[in-house]
Amino acid sequence: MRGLLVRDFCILKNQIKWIGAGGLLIVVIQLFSKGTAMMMVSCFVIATAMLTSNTISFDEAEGGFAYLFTLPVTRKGYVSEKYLVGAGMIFSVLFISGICTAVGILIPGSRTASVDVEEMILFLGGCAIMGIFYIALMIPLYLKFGATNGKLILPLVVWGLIFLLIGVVRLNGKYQWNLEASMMKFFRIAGNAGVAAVFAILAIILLTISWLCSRHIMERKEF
Amino acid sequence: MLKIRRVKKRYGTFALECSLEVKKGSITGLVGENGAGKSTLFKMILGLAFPDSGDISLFGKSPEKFGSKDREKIGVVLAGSGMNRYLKAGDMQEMLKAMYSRFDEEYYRGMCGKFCIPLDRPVKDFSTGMKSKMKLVCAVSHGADFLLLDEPTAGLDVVSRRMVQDLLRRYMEEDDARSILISSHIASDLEGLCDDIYVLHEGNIILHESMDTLLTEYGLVKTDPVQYGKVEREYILKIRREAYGYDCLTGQKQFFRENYPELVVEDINLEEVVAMLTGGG
Repeated sequence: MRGLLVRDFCILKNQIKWIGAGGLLIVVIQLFSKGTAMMMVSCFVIATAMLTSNTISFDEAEGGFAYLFTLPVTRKGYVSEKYLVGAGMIFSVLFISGICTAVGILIPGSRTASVDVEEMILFLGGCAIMGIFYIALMIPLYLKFGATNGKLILPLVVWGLIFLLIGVVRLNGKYQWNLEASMMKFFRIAGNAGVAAVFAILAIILLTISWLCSRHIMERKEF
Repeated sequence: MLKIRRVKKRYGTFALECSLEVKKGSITGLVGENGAGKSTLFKMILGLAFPDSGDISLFGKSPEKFGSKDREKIGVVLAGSGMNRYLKAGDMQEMLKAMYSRFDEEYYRGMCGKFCIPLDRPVKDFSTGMKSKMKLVCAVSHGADFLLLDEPTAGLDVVSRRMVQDLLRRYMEEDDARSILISSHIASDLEGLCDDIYVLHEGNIILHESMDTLLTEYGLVKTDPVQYGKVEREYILKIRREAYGYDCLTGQKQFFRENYPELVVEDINLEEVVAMLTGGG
């Protein structure tokens, strides 16, 4: 695992120009803007999650998997490392954003000074869940279908999820389950912290399912 | 060290079926034309592909049960596999240091220098030969007990191929318990290196012989059509038609020298044996 982390770190280090530019942009935006900051952070979280899936496409290219698994790397270890790197990078981006926001709040007269702290924390949590959802979806897709096909299959999966949602909404209307009222009631009772906790638990469950799927895919794969 | 017993693997119309053994302290060569199944066999030994049937045992363990510690005992060069193109040789050093408990940094840097591999340039800037050398350097830098080298000399010039052979000889001299399984489609690369040799053709082992036996007892008996009609066929392994008559491959050249003094019996090298057996001659 440590060797794989060193390797991914080296690959990312060699892309430092782009990562550094992105990081600098986060810092500047977080310090000197208010409205656009949230949008930018969510974009960076997605970009970071995409970078994780890109490391899989680097591994896959030019017989990379075959080389990697001749080293002291188990398939299970490889899969775990990808999730660890993905989650680690997302939380690093959010941590930097959080620190910048906190610094901005402390600077009197800065645009960030008027940001509501609770709102910001909830937003960063939402971004984390969004990023985790992305890696939970993309890692097994990339491992199963390869980087190129995985990207092509993603819209199908997203449309599948949209149709599933539409189906649930229609069934809700037809059988009068009253889901929206139940949800509103839950949000009222649980409060912001409770809702955040529920989403965090959902994200962990999603990641675990995704990790198990990825592990199963890798263990059956031939190189 | 390595035992392969009646392993079978089918890909479409191609079928591989073979048994093979590598003993402790020996260098075993696997030679065969492109597409003979060498890389498929290597992949199954490493657990990268799964056999349809048969047994593979390395260090007494099935490849599917290999953990990181078991893999540390193996050094691998696999044809068709590649390092991440954005990594530099210096990055590889850091990565291997973190992966192998016995990784020898000094040796690695020395070998990179010897093979003219720059530590500060990414793999994507390397030539085919440099990539081959780099893979070999990585495979031998952690004191592996067993080297699995699939076409390690592919893309190398004559001088570099000699350097690789010298490196492997020295590697074996350092520790009696080490073993190597090496494949090549260039038979001459293996001739001066291996203790025994397997010839793989269209997925089957068609010859297994010790290198000494092959070089001392195998020969080419040259006959005209009349002589050919009179010679003992029991010791002829393969016949090739020539303008003057027949070339007959035998594993008993002394028998022909003693019993047929009128015939020309030539010594033969591995490349010619392989060419005769696989029909490429």
